[in-house]
Amino acid sequence: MSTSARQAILDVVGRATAGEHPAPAGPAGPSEVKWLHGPEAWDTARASLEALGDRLLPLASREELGKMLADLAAEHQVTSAVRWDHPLMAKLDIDGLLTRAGVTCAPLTGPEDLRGVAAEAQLGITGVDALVATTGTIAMRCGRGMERAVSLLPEVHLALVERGRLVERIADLAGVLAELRDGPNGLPSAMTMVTGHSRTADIELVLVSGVHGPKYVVVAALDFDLV
Amino acid sequence: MKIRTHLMNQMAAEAAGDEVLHHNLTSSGARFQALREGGVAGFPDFQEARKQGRAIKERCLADLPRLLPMLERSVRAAGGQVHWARDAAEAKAIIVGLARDNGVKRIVKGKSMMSEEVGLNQALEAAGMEVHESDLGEYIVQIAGESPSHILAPAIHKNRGEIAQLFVDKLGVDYTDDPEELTAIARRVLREKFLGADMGITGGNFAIASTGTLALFENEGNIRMSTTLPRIHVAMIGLEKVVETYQDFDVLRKLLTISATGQKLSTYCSLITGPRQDGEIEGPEQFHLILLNNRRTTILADRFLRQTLYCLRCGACLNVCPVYQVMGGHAYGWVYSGPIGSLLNSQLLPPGQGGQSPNACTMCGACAEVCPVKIEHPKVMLHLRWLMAEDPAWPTADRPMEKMGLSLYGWLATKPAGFRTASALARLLQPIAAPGGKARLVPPMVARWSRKRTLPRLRRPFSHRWRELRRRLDKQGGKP
Repeated sequence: MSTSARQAILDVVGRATAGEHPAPAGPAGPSEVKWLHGPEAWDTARASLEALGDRLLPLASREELGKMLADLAAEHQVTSAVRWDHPLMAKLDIDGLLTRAGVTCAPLTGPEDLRGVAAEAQLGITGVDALVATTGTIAMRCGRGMERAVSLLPEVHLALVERGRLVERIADLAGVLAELRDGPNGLPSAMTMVTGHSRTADIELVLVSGVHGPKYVVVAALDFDLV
Repeated sequence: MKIRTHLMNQMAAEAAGDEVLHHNLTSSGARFQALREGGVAGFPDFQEARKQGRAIKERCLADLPRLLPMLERSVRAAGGQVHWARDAAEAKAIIVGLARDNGVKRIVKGKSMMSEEVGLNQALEAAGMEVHESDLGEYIVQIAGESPSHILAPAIHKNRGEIAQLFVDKLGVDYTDDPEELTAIARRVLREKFLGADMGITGGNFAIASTGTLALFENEGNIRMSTTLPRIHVAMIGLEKVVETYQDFDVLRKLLTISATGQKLSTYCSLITGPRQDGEIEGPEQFHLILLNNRRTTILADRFLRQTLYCLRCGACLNVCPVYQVMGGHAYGWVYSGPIGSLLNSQLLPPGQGGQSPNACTMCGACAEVCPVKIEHPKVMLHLRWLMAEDPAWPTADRPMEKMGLSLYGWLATKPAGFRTASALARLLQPIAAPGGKARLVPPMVARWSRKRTLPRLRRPFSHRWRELRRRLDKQGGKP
């Protein structure tokens, strides 16, 4: 079946387009990523997220992050959180900050955690590859320590964004992907772009938040130097 | 999916009398139109992007002999597997085989029109697997035992009361007609299914040949669940979904989401390149891409009809179509509905089985005006009508009496004196031949035509009545 079906389809596709020789796609444009810096970029991203019904919280220090986590935990009755196993989390000692807020937090250690820890946590904490200022889009590659489930299963998704991780438009993500593609590991098995919280309008077109994915997306704008 | 295209007239008549449906369709049409217009307003180069989008589809389809093997190589290089299916039966056999060989018991699905086209759920269920649609609208339609009626909003034909009762009956929950509570119930029920599923089945919006990347758009998160949690991911796409590069994709994805819901990007866009990589603890262990033909190459072979394959499935043409607004999605009788549905059903089904929906088109052209890849639906409809009448492959083709009647009309229409005489004769005979607009005694050449139509009372042309009317108006001081 497989070889013959393949050949049969390619034969008929060839006949259907016989004599047509379109020029291949032109070369890709410059793939260098234009990272944005400065307060205007944060403001634009904040406005974009607010337009989606989500939030960007500017943070000037690690202490502010700690307070923000405590507030977020109180607001959403968070008792357990799950996070990426990522250098950023260690640098900020996210676990320490959450413990002080009365929240247990751990990275995923194995596949069984997907149905256990990740499925039960109310809060998922990730980093980002890029935040698109004009749309509020969070781009995240997956990989070990950067699990997709962390931004998918819990009701609240908190994305930590460092300075210089902002780009202007969705089209700028092409550069981010090109860098990954040409890098040592190639493209990730999944690149996820998240623009606001999960939503549906399938019942009488009434907009409802959080149908399968998170009901809330919060971006923590880490506007300070990480040591 | 069962073909009911021959029942279009009957189903359309029923739909036209259904007030709930009418309300839902008109309000959803207006809502989607407003969303789209808002999106277009914030997209200054939209018209230019439409031209680019069309050019990309033209190029990629003409280049399929090169791009399909390129896609296959790229997917394999990323660790995925590619399967080729000539028709629905082969596609079903491949997927059922994969499920059986891997001991799959439970399957979760993302919204896929192609799965309806193939009749996949029935095949999997017959093979003993549990299949759960996971898009909220699809889930509602599935537990109701129905089929989707709109590309974007599958359950648009149902109101909240009906859905509330459905949940009581099928899920055993307490009655609530609050959309938020109903959604929460579905979230809870389906979350369990996601966590326990062995296989996730999705369609795909685009496949990028150069990198082997499958792009999936959604707002709910069910596709992310279906492609993250189960150990096997099967994606089935039509041959026409292939583009060459990320840059091609980048133009089309903008057109798609703006035209569908006015969003610059849907809530989630997943770019999937192969299964999980070494060391990863989530994501499918196997990634299978099914490339399905199912008569698409027949459409491809016709340089004019080929534009049907440009469709991105945004749904914009449904939302502006006056015919869809009245008869709804189900009356089209097969998977696809609206203007693009008329084109797809007519060509994806064997000649003659797609039904009469191209004949229902009013030629208003609203669909072509909104189409993100500039498909000229009305022109394609006319071409299909021509095929129906002339192409011997179509069972509707050989109707000499009807043809004679129309030729006679065509001839008369160019002869003013003859036309006037014939009209006068028709006015004279109408009370006998067709009392009350219903044809009784009609020549066989118009019998088929007049069977479904109510003729208005024929009157003398306005230009002939005007002098008399004018005199009366003058006499009555301008009042009729």
